[in-house]
Amino acid sequence: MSQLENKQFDSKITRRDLIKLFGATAVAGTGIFGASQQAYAKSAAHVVVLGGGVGGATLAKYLRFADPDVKITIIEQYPEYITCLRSNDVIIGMHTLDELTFNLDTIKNKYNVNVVIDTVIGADFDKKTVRTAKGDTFSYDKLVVSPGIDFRFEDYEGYDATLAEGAFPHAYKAGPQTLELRRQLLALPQGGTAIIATPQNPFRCPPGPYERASFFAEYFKEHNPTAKLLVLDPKDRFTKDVPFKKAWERLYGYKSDNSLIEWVSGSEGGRVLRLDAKNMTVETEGGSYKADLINIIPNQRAGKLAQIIGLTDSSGWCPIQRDTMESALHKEVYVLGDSSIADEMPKSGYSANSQAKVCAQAIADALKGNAPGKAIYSNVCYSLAGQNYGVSIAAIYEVRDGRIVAKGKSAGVSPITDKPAQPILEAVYQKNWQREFVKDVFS
Amino acid sequence: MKLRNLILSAGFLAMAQNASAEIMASGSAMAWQCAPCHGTNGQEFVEAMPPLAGMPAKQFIDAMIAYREGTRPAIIMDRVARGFTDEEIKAMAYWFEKQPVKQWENTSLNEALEADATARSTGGQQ
Amino acid sequence: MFKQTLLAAALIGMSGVALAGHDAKPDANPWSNFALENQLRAMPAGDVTRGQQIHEQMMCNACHGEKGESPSRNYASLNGQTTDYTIKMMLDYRDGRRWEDYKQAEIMVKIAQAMDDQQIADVAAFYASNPVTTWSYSQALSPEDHAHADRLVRKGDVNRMITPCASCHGMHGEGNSVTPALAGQVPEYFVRTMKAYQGHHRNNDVNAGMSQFTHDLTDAEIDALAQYYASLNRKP
Repeated sequence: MSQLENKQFDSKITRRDLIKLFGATAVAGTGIFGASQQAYAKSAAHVVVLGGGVGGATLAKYLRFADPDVKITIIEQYPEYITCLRSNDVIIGMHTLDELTFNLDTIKNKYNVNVVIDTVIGADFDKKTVRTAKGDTFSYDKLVVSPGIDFRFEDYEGYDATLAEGAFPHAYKAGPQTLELRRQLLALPQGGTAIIATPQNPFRCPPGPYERASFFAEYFKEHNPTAKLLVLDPKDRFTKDVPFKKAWERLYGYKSDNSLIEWVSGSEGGRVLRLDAKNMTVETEGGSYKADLINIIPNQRAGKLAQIIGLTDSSGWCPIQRDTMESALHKEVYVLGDSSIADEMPKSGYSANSQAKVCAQAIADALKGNAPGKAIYSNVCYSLAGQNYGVSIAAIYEVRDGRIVAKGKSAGVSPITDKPAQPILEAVYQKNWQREFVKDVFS
Repeated sequence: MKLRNLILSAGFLAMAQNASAEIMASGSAMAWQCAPCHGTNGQEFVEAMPPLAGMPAKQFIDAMIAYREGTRPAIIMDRVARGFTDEEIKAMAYWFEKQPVKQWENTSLNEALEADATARSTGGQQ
Repeated sequence: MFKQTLLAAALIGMSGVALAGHDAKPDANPWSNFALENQLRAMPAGDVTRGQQIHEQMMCNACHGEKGESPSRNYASLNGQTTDYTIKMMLDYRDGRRWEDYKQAEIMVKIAQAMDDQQIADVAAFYASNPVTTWSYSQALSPEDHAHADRLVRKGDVNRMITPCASCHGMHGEGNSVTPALAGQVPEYFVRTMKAYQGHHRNNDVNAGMSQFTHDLTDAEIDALAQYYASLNRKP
């Protein structure tokens, strides 16, 4: 297709044109076209994407597929992105953080996307502009927001962001906290006790806490066989709980006297109310527990940016139109990924990637004045209950009666079978998926 | 899409085409959903999961229907295939058949756009 | 009972691999003719009925078809394969000799590591017991290409010192002991394999024979041979 070639750098474009397109300060402040050296027709619409994680990067790439001419700018806070997905692997030394670190270079160069490293501090939905910490203003025709999650520390007396950065990492955004949790796991005294407290629904990566619990148990089995893990849960069910618990039975003696894992459900008083940091104790609805390692994964809400610019409702999450991911609160603003209210879809990286593709096509259609096509979403989550034991959940989704719901008879978790190959193959598929997934997002 | 707008804005043929689009996502929209495992546009040839790009449509259709009907054992594809009708499977098959048989990293954006355009104009799409 | 034992054995067998960090390639010496012969002689006798059970329990059927006839261009057909070749491949995967691209080999490495010698002998017997089929999606070669491929198979090419394929793989692609049957093989798998030998990515063959035999073949010849064998109807 030659449209792109025809859009190679057009020297006739003037500074005034650029100002009109991107805003004055932006032209002054940053090299607008970055390495791509790509200019656009003056009439081309401008899509600004806030957040260069899974949702934002996928959106930019697939919007380029859907519309070769549109101008795309990603504004992302950090020059590098560490995927939360597979960050549990780092805790047990199966991956390094470096291996989970990606940047937007390919998105910028291969897909002609303008990448700005800056922090957005405000949006004006009437004027259709966003403002950044560096003082730049960007005007948009369509705004896409993919801001991830924020934590509700206030739900736990005695726990806060400072403690999380210190001796009580939640490690639920990959980074230094992940490494600190690894350090604590390795330093756990023989026969010690570890606690993982899981969040209330909804939250990012629903199997994440239980995969982490499995990894702790697998580590204990090999290196600290008299240690115990206590999983404190405000819920009575969790995703893939049937195959997870079966795996725990098979691998870690779950339900036996010597189980490496004990799971305390919500009705058994598993909800954590308070952290006593000094005495290494958590208080729950059912009693208090002392431990050598305490990992509270807090309750969550939409990312800070979504809250600041007013895309959340009273639930703390962002309501959307299900067939396009457009905000239900503001027109021409779209919300992707964990922050959005997507009904039956879990808050996973796969979901964000899936939603970004639907959103990209919907934006391209809207810019051309076409009605949106029928949306189709999907999610596949592989988790490891051990390094050679995978469990998965998969579904295709469609919009029905204004909700995103499983399509056909597609939804299902790993069956419990007596086939030894099933969990082994799921674990291999998980590794394949991880390598493929990040490529679909970032390259 | 509102039926009233359709009648106002299009002739009978266009209406029939759009009505079918209304009940089914496009081949590319569905095919994009396969990328996290099978590579962007199905162009992943070095992993253990089968590449979909350039796969003969019949092979794709046979496989998906066998997964859906439970006649071919699977780890996960049975659960995925149960989400698709025959027509949807065909639309994906025709779209994938037109994608280049080469690793995604070695494919230029223009090649991808051309393949997509070819698939859209000849595959089971409006 | 059989099933439960198999499951428990597989999970225990795998646990030793746990927490080794990245999957490390097992350390195995290349085969000598002598060592391979001894190993094959030491294998227990396979049982077809048990082999079929293992084929289902280890989910070999998900990729290799109900009786070993692959439904996918990505995976090899195993029906009609010689027992010795199937055994050798499983041992090579298990011990790290076949590791040419771990991303692709990983499934087979993990499955092979979960199986013991008896189970390997049993599945090998099962595949050998199933007749060869032709590949359902094979494409017809032009008469010239077919003639050229047929000549390479039967006569080789003296000028380029290319040995006739049939001299080891049989006039009907039926294979012989550790030399695999090729009739009905999935063409994409055939091409991938030939190129892996050619590029020295795959080197589990004794004395690196296949990398020599493939050295001078052109891509077009490999493609033609793939289609030739895929549609070859082996005579009894």
